[in-house]
Parts: sequence; structure tokens; C-alpha cells
Amino acid sequence: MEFHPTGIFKTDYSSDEGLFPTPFIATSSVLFFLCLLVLPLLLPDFLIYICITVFIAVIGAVGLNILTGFTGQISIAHGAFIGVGAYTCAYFTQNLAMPLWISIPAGGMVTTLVGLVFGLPSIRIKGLYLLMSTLAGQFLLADYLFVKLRSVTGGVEGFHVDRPAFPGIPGDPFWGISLYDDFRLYYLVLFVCILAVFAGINLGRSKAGRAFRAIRDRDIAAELIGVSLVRYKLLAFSVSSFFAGICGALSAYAWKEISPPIFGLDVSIAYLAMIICGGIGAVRGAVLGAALITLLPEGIIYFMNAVVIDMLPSWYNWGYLFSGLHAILYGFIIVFFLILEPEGLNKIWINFRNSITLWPFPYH
Amino acid sequence: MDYFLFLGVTGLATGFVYALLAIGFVVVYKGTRVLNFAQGSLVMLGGYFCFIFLAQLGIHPFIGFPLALGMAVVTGLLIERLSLRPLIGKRLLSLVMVTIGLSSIIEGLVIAIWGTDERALPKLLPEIPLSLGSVSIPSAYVWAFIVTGILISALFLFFKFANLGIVMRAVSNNQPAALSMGISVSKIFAVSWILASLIATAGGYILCNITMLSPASAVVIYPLFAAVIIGGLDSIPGALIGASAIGVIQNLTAGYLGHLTGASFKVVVPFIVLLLVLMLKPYGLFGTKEIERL
Repeated sequence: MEFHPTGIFKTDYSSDEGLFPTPFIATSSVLFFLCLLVLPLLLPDFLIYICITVFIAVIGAVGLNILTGFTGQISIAHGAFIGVGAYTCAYFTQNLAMPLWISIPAGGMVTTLVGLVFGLPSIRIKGLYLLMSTLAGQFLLADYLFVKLRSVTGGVEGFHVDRPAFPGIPGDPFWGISLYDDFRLYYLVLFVCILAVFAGINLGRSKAGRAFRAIRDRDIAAELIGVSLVRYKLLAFSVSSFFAGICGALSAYAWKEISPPIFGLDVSIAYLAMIICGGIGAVRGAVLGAALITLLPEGIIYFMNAVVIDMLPSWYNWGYLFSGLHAILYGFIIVFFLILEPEGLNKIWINFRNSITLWPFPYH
Repeated sequence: MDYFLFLGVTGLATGFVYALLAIGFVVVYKGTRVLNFAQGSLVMLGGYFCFIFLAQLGIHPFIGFPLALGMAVVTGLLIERLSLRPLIGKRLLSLVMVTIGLSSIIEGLVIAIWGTDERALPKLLPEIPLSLGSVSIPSAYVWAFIVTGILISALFLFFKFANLGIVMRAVSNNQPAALSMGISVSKIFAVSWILASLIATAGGYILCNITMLSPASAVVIYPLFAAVIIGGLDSIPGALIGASAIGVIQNLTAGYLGHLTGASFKVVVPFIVLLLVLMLKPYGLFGTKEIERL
């Protein structure tokens, strides 16, 4: 087996742009994939559910990374877009009794249209002002339309979604594979997640990906060399919203009960936090960041509740502290990464990998 | 007509409360070019500072309120030193996210210390009966009007004539040029945050005279975004006009269209106005147009 080289020794462009730079990376990716396939056989149920949450977050984060990381257009409406996908998928499944392979893409397509509409201001404004207009989109959708369009969304009481059978219609198992338990949903979500990650990576390597980066680095210069700002900004908004829609559609199946608050501003902020902590502009970063933001605060709180709470003196009411802990940790993770490692987990991973490939030499 | 007047006047009163809170944004943006998403949390924290000294410890307000302001100064200084200073010159997303992270930390700390219960502050401000025509205005709003008026005129004069204010404008206008003129940019950044924190505490106290204090009080900032964008992010009179406009529009739509749109429409009205303004005048009504060169 060929190991990772100690430097960049590419001799032609195709190998430089290759999806897998070395056979070692290709092999380890396949092995990692196989591990993910076997994983649910070994894990208890609640951990499978957490894995599903992570995969869904990965899809959304890869999508936001296309818009914010590649194209540099900050969107704080991602949570609402995910909501659009979730409600569309739920409506198609529940009210129109559509099978899964129609309702999930439908969630993506409708969200693409919505994202396109809310991306329109990006033609005229950018930076802080664009951020504000997406914030307006977030509030319009999640705080008003989701609550108000009761016939479609069920209002504040929420909307119940039955997990469909694959690929049949709800309650009519076709092929005998139903998604009623998390174990089976895991494979569906894993499949979509891997598709999304590959799509994200390949988009970054394509002509559109290069245009996105040109816009991010200097939009005026990009326009001068012939990148159509209107076209590629709107493309970025729609592709990113498509990912958000798929993410939402799957989360509708995973949560089973959806209501407006779970697509609120904090979700949009969480996705921004994911791509920042992961390393902005890198698909691997989005994946790592999604895992970190989903797992770390929950993990620490689980640990605190399971282990630490018994060791604390009982004269003080720790309940307040524990209920505030999640927000504190979450804020600290964001501030920590921004200040100490602005390139995020991706950079930490690269440093770690380099130190291993170069071992025992300390320099790279 | 009476109904219209009533809605307009109460809306204007709300607008002045918004303006009082929005000035904090403008000061930070003017000084440091950071849009402070943590301003709402600072307002909430300021409310809790007043709560410690005025309610929990029961100190006389003439001592307690300066103590609360002292805490606010420390908070502003700490925030600037620990989190904003290392990020000078970083990209917009980092600056926005760090203030969001800060607001999460502040909210978490407040919940960890005081819990999520609603608290009431002792109402220490003397009643000022005021009525316009047939509309009587609650005393707290009158106080908001007075405090906002004083603060805005003071800040206006400060930025126009005071040495420090002129230096702050210089820094906001051109950082490298200000540095080369011997101005300590980092000191100006600290001053901006301290000012914002002080204004937030004053605003927090006034706000707590109108509503109850709880960690959820921080959501008050969302209509303010619309207000400051409409007014132009770096204009203090603009913030006043934007905030009054938002207050009045919110009240009028709630009063006349409320039966059609439902109560939750009040939350999104500022954002609809915001979208319209951004489409027509991308830098707000009074903001400085940003001209870019390659």
C-alpha cells in the first residue's frame, strides 16, 4: 500500500485535482465508509439516533458551506430553509401520501425556490446588509409563515410525520423495508449524507466552485474577469437551499414531530457555528464542525448529569447552573475557535495528519 | 382619528425605547465596525446588574445605580479585551459570530446565576403624568423619552466636539490613517464597548420599568436591527428616526391590520420594512455609502 507522501509531488493537473490525492486516502475513505455501515449494528438505539442527527446536520452544514464558505455570502436563514424542506416533505408525505423518493426531493426543490427568492437581495447588497436581509427572511419564514399557514404547517401545535416505508407510501411497506425504526432510517440518512458530501466536494472542484471562490475573494475582480455575479450568487443560494431542503426533509422523518421553534434563529446560528468551528470553506470542515456542534455540548452535559452531579456538594441548587451550561459551552466553543483556531477543526486535522506523516521529523 | 393618534403616540413612545437601546449598536459600529449581536444580551445583563444592587441588595439607587454602571464598564472592557481585541481586522463573519457567541455566553451565565424566572425591578423613577390629547402615556415611556433625548444629544455633542469623540470618528473612518496619527486604536475600541455597555445598562433599567426582566429580554434587539439599518448603521440621529419609525409602524400595523394578520405579525413588521428599505436604499436612509475600489 502506498502511504501518504511527505510533500506535494504532483506532475499533472488531473492528479492535482483528483478526488483522492493518494491511494491511501482512497483506501481509508472506503474503510471509514465500511465502518459507518457496520456502526449501527454495534450501537445502542439512542446512539443510532444521535448518529442520524449528526448526519442530518452534516448535510445542512455542507449546504451552508457552499453559500457562506465557498461564495462568502453570509446567510442567517439556513434554519428557516431547513424548515421549508421539512414542512414540504411532511406535507407531501402526510397530506398527499407521496412516497419517500418524491417527498424528499420535493422538499429540496421547494426550498430551492424559496432560497432563490431570499437570495435575490444578494444581487444588490452584500456583507452586513445581506446578513440583515437573510435575518429578515429567517423571521418572516420561521416566526410568521410557519406559524400562520396553519393548513400546511399545523401552526404552533406542530405537525406529525409518519416515517414512510421505503420506497412505498406511508403504512404500505413495499419491499418489506420500512423506516419505522432508527436502525433503518440510519442507512437512508447515511446514503443521502454521503451523496451530499460528495456533491459538496465535487462542486468545489468544478467551474461553478471556482466562480464561487472568485466571488468570495473579491467580487468586483470576479465580475471583471467575466464571472456573472447575479448568476453565481443565485446559483449558490439555490444549491445551498437545496441541501437545506434535503436536510429538512430527512429531519422531518427523524424528529417525527415538527413545529416552528425547531427551525428558529438558533438553528441558523448553530449551522454558522458548525462551518466556523469546522473550518470555513472546506467540506471536511463542515462535516467535522457539524459533528462537533451537535455532539460536544450535549456530550458534556450528559457527562455532567451522569457523573459530575453526584460529586457536587448538595447545599447549592445546581439546577440553574446546569440549565445555563449548554448556552455557555456553546458560546465558548464559538469564541474559542474564532480566536484560537480560525481555520477550525479542518486545520487541526491537517496539522495532526502532517505531524503523523512527517514523524519522526518535527518540521513541515 | 383618536385611535390613530393613540397608536401613533404609543408607537412613538415604544420607538424611543428602541432608540435608547439602538444607540448602543451605533456606538459600537461607529467605533469598531462590528455589528454587535450581543447588544440585546448586554441590555438584559444590564437589567440584571440593576437587579442585583437595587432589588437583591436593596442599596439606595444613588449608590446602587452607579455600582451597576461600574459593573457595565467592567463587562464592556472584558468583552473587548478577551474576545474582540484578538479579532481586529478579521472577516465580517468572524466578527458577527463572536458577538453571537458572546451573547450565548452571557445568556447562559444569567440563566446559571438567576434562572429563567421573570423578575421585577423596584420602580424607583418618579411618576410623570403626561397626556397628549386624549392619550395618556405611561411614566416609564416618558422616562425613556427623557433618557434617550439626553443620551442622544450628549453623544451627538460628544462625537462632534469632544476630543475622544473626534478620535473615535477618525478611527472609524480610516484605521491605518488614525494609527499613523498616533491614535491608540485599541483604546478607542475599548471605549466604544464600554460606552455600549453603559448605554445598554441604562436602557436595560428603563426596559425593566416597562416589562419584566428575564433571560428572554435579550430578544428585544431584533426589531432594533431593522431600526439601525433603516437609519443607517453609523448615524445616531438615523438610529433615533429609524427606531421611532419602527415603533410607529409596528403599532399602526398591529392596530389596523392586527385582526387580519394576527399578533405575531408585530415581530416581522420591522423586517418587512427592513427588506423594503434595503431594496430601495441599500445603505439605509442616513448611512454612509460604501464606495469600493479594486
